[in-house]
Amino acid sequence: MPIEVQYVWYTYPSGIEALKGISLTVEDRDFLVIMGPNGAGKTTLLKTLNGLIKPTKGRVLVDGVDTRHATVAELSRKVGLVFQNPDHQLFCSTVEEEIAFALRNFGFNEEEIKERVEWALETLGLEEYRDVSPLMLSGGEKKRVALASVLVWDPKYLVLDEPTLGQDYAQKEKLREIICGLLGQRAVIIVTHDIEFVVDFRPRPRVALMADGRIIAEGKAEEVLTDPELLSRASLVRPQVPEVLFNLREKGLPVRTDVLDLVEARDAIISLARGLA
Amino acid sequence: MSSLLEGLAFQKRDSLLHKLDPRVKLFYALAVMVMAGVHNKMLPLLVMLLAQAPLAALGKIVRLWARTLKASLPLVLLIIGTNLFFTWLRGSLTDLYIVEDILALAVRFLVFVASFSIFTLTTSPDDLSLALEQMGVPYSFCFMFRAALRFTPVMVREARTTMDAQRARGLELDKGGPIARARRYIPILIPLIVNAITRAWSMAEAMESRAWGASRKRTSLYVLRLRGRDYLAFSAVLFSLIMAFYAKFYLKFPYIIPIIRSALGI
Ligand SMILES: Nc1ncnc2c1ncn2[C@@H]1O[C@H](COP(=O)(O)OP(=O)(O)OP(=O)(O)O)[C@@H](O)[C@H]1O
Ligand SMILES: [Mg+2]
Repeated sequence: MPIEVQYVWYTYPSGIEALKGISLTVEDRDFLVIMGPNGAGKTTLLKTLNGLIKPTKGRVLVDGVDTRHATVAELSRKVGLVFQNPDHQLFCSTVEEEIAFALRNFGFNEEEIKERVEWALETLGLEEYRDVSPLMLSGGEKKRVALASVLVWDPKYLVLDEPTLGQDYAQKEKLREIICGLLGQRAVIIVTHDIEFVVDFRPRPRVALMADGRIIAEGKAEEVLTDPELLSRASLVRPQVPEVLFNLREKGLPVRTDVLDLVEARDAIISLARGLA
Repeated sequence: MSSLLEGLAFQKRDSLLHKLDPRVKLFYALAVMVMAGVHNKMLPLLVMLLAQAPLAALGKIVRLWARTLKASLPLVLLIIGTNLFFTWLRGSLTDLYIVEDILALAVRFLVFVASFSIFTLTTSPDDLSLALEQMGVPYSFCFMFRAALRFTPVMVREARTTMDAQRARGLELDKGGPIARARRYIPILIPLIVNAITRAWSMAEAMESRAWGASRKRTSLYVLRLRGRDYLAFSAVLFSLIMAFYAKFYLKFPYIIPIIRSALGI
């Protein structure tokens, strides 16, 4: 069963209308990326998925359960939300304890806690830090601990708010590997501004573009992320690979432009060259 | 609670009250406190409370001001409740006049909140610290004060985010008895404190790299100077203060219960 966001509106108590009629479905084992400018309402939307925010209008169904009729703890068991800034949540004296925190809240038994923490440490390559204070880690490592502390209960829907923020290239690649390893068994939803991070994913995610509290486009990455009009409405810059192809086309060359990565670009250019020859 | 804090935060508006010298407004807030402090009867306290509504209107902050008063209602009820209870315990809860006196205490508290909120809503922390500075208070103290005020909303926001993040990890804040509940706040307090300290350190570094405290004599971009309207406002407050003392010593205020009764004909 899926998550269904049905025509959701949300107004903050301060009067800001952050969501204006959002509809979205996340299937089992789905891979969805949400992009859009600052203040578009992405984080707010994520918070509606585990009930931290209840819609002012419309509703969110998680596997058929209206989020209004369930507690955040119950919903979180299925929808694991990793917040943007790990500094807002890390508090235990060791990484191991930090990762076990949620399991204790959910009432897992000690044996299972041990097993799962081990699995999470391993999956995220954090074994060497198990006895270190999470507060002493670097920014990138903290983000991985925060991810581990949610992944550990193996939620059916894993939701990540800006996972690449402040990460260097190597860390990002590692993160991509981790996420790819998770795909296929559970649904992954990522909010990010990092378009190059998105285009290098295999399999390609579905992409939803948000602006001003609305979803302005949703579809395959290669369609949405190469559309210049949509991208500018979402304050995004076209990825470099399609940018080159667009330039070629502007010069009058009949080349495909619905292409996102290097391999596809190479093929497009080869077939262009063949056509010209 | 948080709306009470918000109700005390400065609101930028274009009004006469906003333009008044912060020292005059500080004097106003303190004077009202003294006035309400010396009176303990319902009638004068009620007058003091109502007399501030036009001032809030003058400062274009009526809605926020009313919200602050509303947010302080739980405390008001607490004051009334405990006083009623202890008076009753002593066996002196004998007639309605005593109840009126107890209600007057609550109104006195509202007068405090009202004047203080008019002051803070119309005076930016920067102006206030400038005023203190030019009244001879040491600069580092003024700075501390200003920073504390400015970071309160940031801390409130951070506390909310942290609460959300921990609830997303299955923390249930309102489950179990009082001790279990208090313990559940640890995951929220630790990140909050750690972040506050980290921020203080990086702020100190940033300030030192901008030569904070390098010269003994700081100059100010803005210098406060009292104008005609400030003297006028100051005189008005002073006059009210004198009148309040005069009234306290030479006038006898009737209870309002008989007045209400006769007005209603019961
Ligand atoms: N706790 C809050 N109280 C009031 N308004 C808020 C709160 N959180 C967010 N907002 C407002 O709601 C709107 C949407 O915010 P949101 O954080 O969802 O945007 P976002 O798309 O996640 O942006 P970013 O890319 O900067 O993270 C913004 O205008 C923001 O100012
Ligand atoms: Mg966000």
